[in-house]
Amino acid sequence: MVSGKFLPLPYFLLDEELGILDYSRSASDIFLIGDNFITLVDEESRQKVSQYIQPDFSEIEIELNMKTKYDPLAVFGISVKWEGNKAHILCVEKTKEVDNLSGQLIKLRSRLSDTDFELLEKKEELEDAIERIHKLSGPFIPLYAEAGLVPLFGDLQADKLRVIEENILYRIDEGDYEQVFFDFHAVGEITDEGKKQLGQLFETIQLMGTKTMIVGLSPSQVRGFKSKGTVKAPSMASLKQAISEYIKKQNHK
Amino acid sequence: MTEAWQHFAAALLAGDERQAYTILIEDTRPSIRVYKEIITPAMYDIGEKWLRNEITVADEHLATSVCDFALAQYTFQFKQRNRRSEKKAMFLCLEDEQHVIGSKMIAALFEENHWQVRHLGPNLPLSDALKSAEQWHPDVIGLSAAIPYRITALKEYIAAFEQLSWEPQILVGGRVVAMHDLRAYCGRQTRVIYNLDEVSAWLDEKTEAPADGVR
Repeated sequence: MVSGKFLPLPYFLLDEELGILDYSRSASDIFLIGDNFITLVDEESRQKVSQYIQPDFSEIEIELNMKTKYDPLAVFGISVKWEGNKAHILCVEKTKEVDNLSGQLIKLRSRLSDTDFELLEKKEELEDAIERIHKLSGPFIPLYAEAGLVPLFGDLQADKLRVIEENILYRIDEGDYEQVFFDFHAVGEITDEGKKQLGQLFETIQLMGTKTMIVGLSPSQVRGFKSKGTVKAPSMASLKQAISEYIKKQNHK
Repeated sequence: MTEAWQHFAAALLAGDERQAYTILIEDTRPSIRVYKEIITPAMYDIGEKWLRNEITVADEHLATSVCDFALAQYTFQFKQRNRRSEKKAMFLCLEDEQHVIGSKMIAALFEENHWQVRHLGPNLPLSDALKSAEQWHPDVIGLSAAIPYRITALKEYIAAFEQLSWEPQILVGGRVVAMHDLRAYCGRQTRVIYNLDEVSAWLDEKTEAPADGVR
């Protein structure tokens, strides 16, 4: 029989118990060779060895994790051929290919998570921008020491009003205002939830001892305002009129 | 009847990320059960298939990647405005460790509970991990290890993180914790996590803690 000594790949000749009878020089270059093939195999691959390297499978290819001199967990493709009660085994290392593959997959993965992350960042930026716009849609402008104006802009939804409300209540509380004008001239649609929220806002302000005056609310917007706060708030058609009446009253005092 | 996890495993091995994602997102179970009852058994099954010589290592890697992709899409729904949350958790896999799915599922549970979460990914050298921790000061550091021969490295990671000045809680999980008793390596700040239910219970504990009003 031709010896496998000079085969350019790790080669083993094994008996039925997987005892090593012979091996190639390439094998001893890579592996620390003991008595039995199983000692070269990673513990978690050993089950596979006992199951598949046996005479019932006269010719088979399997993959094993093996311990080399350089790597405690190297992937090998193993080709097995039985000749009577002896097995010829060739081992081809695949670690490099597997590493390349997993390297590429990791790159893809990290790109994926970067994309996810960027998307998320953009989403949060957008949410911040929306919140900022909401805040700017209802600024509190001090007119006199005791009166302030809140011009409202755009469509009014509950979430927008919640943002506006926080600022307004803070300013009223801080400034000891007697009267606040809410100017609706630049307002488009008001959602039902928005109307509820507005009513609550007026009620809160009234509870704080400050009068609310609604200005420029159009008839189509008025429908659906049911809360106490809104009902209690007097209204006027124009801001000019509202302010001049306020001044007149002040002068009479 | 074929179970959802079997369909999921088949989609992973077929490289069909759309199908894999669809199986997850259309399932009505709460997320923790999706992780426990679909993703986990599917990934174990894929490992078993390699042992049965039915698939190659390359197939396994591909399946893992598809799983990662599907999981990332599935957990995206929980990525909400946690940026302002005060609770921060960082997760990583040891150097030379690619088994990332388990810790991603745990990271997702944290996100769902309104923690700020960073997953630093697989194969992270200790020096890099420490640098990230120093910069970000997470309250929790989750370590994941799957390969038994890396246990000495795991020990080093635990010891290094236990030295951090603000004393973060360290959670250690992954396949090795079922194979070896790690408690001897763990100090007061470190806890070994054996499964997703434990994480979930731990998170509940943390969430409920301030309710006693004595914080």
